[in-house]
Amino acid sequence: MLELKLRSKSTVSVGSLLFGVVALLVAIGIASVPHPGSTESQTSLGVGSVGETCTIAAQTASIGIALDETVAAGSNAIAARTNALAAEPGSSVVEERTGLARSGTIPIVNAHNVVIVRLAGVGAMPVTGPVGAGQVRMSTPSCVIAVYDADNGNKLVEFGTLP
Amino acid sequence: MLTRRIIRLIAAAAIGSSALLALPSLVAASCNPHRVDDNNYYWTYVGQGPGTSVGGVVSNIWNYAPYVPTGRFSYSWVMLTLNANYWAQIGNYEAVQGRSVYLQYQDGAPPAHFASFGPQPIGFSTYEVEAIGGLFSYYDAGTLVFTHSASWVPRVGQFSSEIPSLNTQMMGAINNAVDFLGNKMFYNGAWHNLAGSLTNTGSAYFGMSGTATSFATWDKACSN
Repeated sequence: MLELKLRSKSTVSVGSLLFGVVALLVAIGIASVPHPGSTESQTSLGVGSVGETCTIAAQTASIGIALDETVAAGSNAIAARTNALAAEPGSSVVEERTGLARSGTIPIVNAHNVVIVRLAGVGAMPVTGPVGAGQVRMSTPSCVIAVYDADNGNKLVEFGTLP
Repeated sequence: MLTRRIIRLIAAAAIGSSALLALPSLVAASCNPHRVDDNNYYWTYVGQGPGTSVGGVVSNIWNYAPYVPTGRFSYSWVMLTLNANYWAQIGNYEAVQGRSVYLQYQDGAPPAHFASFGPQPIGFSTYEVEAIGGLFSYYDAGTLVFTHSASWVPRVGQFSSEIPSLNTQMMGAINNAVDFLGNKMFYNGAWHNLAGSLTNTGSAYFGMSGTATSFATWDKACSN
């Protein structure tokens, strides 16, 4: 089989080759699009679905929050939303979910009824680094996601990127 | 101070590495050191590069709540690193917004990334970072709280308290020092006691004593 393929390569036209390259690139593009339920789809937090631009996929990969959970803002979630907004002035709620799934690597994100908040107007934060790394570098997070426990309003985790 | 340290050491040893020690008489109180804002980093630390890849760092750190002005932080942490652009750290963090368990990492050129969780109570708790097969795992009091994948391999471990300006209180006080106990690094297939010298980049302002495996740091401007 391998031999046949190699032979056919030597006889194809330039046009066929170009078509093949284009088809291959298209296939790679399709393969790189996150599929529902895949690890990649769990990393976006669905923020884009409400028109926000908050890109923290590299970090959320380990949080393991599933996007396919049913959005059901019950009374507990509403209470948590109120608490979250009070705790983070200027923030906005972009997702409300209940029964968050988890990957098993983040035991703390294990509560039912959790509200996800994108914080607006987050101030500059210092970047640390190893001893002797250099001067203080302040960075304003491009976005911050905070997860609150809707049962008690406590913040469970907050994470983001320092450009 | 010596008596308090002995009490802590005995209690920490009795309760174990994941202990949460709460001694009412030792509740930390923040203290404004009333120093200038010089915008320079200061560390009280021990670092070791064993000459091979390092797979983990762990320490039992006394959680303290220092004074921190707006826009600054005070931090006690353990870290895996390669150089200035590659690091992975977790520890007890105080900012004007409050205290938290905080981790920050960078896998090459910026951006850096961070995550924070609810604070551990005042007292001892363990902080640990592991890097195994490209998976970096962060442990807070023995619980895995965060992971990320990266291709770099750590070769150095650092254990430190840190501030980004003199106007911020370094973790700890004269009578309530921040202890780093049971400091270990994983390399050559086993955990080893941390080795190296104690380094204080601001000895006029900060105190440091002990050995690499068990040292204490504090701010000289604050009594407790």
